[in-house]
Amino acid sequence: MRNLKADVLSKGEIGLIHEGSLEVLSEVGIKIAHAGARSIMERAGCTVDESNGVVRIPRDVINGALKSAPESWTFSSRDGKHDAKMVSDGSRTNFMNLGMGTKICHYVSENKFDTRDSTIPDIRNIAKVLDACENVDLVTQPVSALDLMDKRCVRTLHEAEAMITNTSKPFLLDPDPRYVDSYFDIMKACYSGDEEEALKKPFLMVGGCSSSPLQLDTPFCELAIKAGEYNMPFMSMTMAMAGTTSPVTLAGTMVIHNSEALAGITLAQLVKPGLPVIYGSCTTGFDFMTDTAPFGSPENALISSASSQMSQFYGVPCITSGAISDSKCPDFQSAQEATLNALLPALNGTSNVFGVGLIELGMTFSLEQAVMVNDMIPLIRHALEGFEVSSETLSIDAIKEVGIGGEFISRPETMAGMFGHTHPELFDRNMYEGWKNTGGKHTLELAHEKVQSILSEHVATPIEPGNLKEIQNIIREADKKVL
Amino acid sequence: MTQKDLNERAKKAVMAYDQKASAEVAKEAIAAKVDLVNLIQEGYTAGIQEVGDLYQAKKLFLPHIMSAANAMNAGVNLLTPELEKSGKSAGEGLGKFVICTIEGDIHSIGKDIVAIMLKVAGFNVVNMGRDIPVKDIVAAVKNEKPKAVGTSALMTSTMVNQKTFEELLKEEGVRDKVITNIGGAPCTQQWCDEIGADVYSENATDCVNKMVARVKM
Repeated sequence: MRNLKADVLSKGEIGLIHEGSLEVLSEVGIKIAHAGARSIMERAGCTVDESNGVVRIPRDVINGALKSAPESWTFSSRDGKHDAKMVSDGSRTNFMNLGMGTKICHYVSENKFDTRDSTIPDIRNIAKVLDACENVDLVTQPVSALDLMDKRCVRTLHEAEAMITNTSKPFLLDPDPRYVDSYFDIMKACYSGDEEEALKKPFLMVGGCSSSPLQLDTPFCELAIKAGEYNMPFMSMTMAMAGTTSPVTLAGTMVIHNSEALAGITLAQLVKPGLPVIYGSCTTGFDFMTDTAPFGSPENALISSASSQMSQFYGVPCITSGAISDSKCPDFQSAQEATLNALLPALNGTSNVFGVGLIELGMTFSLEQAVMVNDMIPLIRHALEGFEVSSETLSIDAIKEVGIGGEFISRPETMAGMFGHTHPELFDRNMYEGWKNTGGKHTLELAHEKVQSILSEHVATPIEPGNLKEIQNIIREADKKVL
Repeated sequence: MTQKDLNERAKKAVMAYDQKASAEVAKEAIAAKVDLVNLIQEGYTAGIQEVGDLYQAKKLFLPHIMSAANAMNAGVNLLTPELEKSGKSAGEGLGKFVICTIEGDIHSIGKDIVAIMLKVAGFNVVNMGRDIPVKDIVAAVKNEKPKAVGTSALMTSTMVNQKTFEELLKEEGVRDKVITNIGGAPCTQQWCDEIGADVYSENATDCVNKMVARVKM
């Protein structure tokens, strides 16, 4: 049940952004770096200028692509226990982490953190923690393995292995277009070599990010084409920054973002009609006081919410940034920002809030932040439900029976209904003495303890040993080819 | 129906929050002329203590303990007049505990929860109600001769009456005859120390723990 909805855009405003985007795509066009992708677009009826790579997309091509894009689909998990429903009617909001950072913020002691470059062991730990976070529905590559940067190996495959061996949740890769065949082989290996199963139930998603304003680079196109080949879900993500790579007005930024997202989805649908696609947004504002593109801002929350509304208008599931912060460590700022930019898009019915655990404008991951946001998610979900008003829930009979000055504690309805109220795990609701008597620990300390206990005790659904060996072979073979 | 069977049924009725069954057991026990004091102690009280233990262990919650107390009262209230007729009493347990919400304050639910929990713990609780004039509480201390007296205040404007109460107890020469216990949301340990009260309790569980320890000292 979901009762609450907060719209950022009116129906008329959705129409204006849509029309504006179609005008931009048909008149200005979008520069597509990949010749193969340009010819796919041309065959579908787009006007292509080969002298500069600009593709002008007419309205009917976009409408046709949107029609073939599935309105809802299931993102499989490799163990079948964590399948995530992707919808575009606002009825379900998943929560996931966001990537890709290059640092991890280690908790040392209260108010003391050590932020260092992220490594493969960090990725394993993050995957394990996200796997144990029961309110996180799917995962993405959280950070890059900087320790493999100068090693002779295929980093993306090692990163993927570190993730999938420690979480069985559906996984959005940080994909390298050269290795999509290997991603597919890994899925196939997980399904004991069953290619049909890998085609039918992909648990890896690839995605590309447009280069604002109005450009799709080669990797983006290669990924869209390869995704179609292997029936892997494809995300068309944008990262415009209002005032720099898109207009300073959020409305104008929405036009740029929407044009790019539509162009990406159109390409993917032309490659393979019916391919599960995601309308993505990490588009945000820009703070000229610090010369940065903050994620924790209300501008980001508004853009994510508006993007979610556009995706619902198009009937395409979305992933929009949220539950994310610009703080350098888990603290008051990270709590406030993550709450605001998770709540607003969730209220809007976004299909995926993208950001659990990420801080420092998307560059640093904090395990403690992740488990604290995990604790916050049910509270947000509870708020989204609103409450039921009916002749039964109005409880007039009970009020009459109890009368003036009585109590409702011993009512049978209270006993039956008390567990319908929220009770967070880490956020403490004791009064002072009660809190002191139960250890007197602050939320961050408790979060750290939870992280430690997950790391020492949690085990994700293991990959069959034979299948795992095959995956390791695939990676070893790929590594050998690296000069 | 033997004493043992009735005790067991009384305990079960309390643990099932069943007021009707609880009253039935009391009626049958009166008719069967069994030991009613034993029925209260080994039946009803045993049941509510078990619920109380589960509450302490956070396996059960306030609605359960309040419902169990209501079930217990449904039986015990029928037994009390019978006991009075025969001049017996259910015993003092840990001792008498007078409790009320202080003068000027009509907040009573927290105080009532504390009263029930104290009863569960084994005190013979005299719940005077709410908005009780300070002089009446002092009179109760003189007449009832309780081991302890608890006053609850939910407003800073009525907290001051807890201080007045301490002073009046001294004036009347009975301060050293009773353990004073204060509670209510605005009260603190510091306030307790400042006015010279004996025990501060933050909540019902805290009250029971501290007061049981105190009377056993």
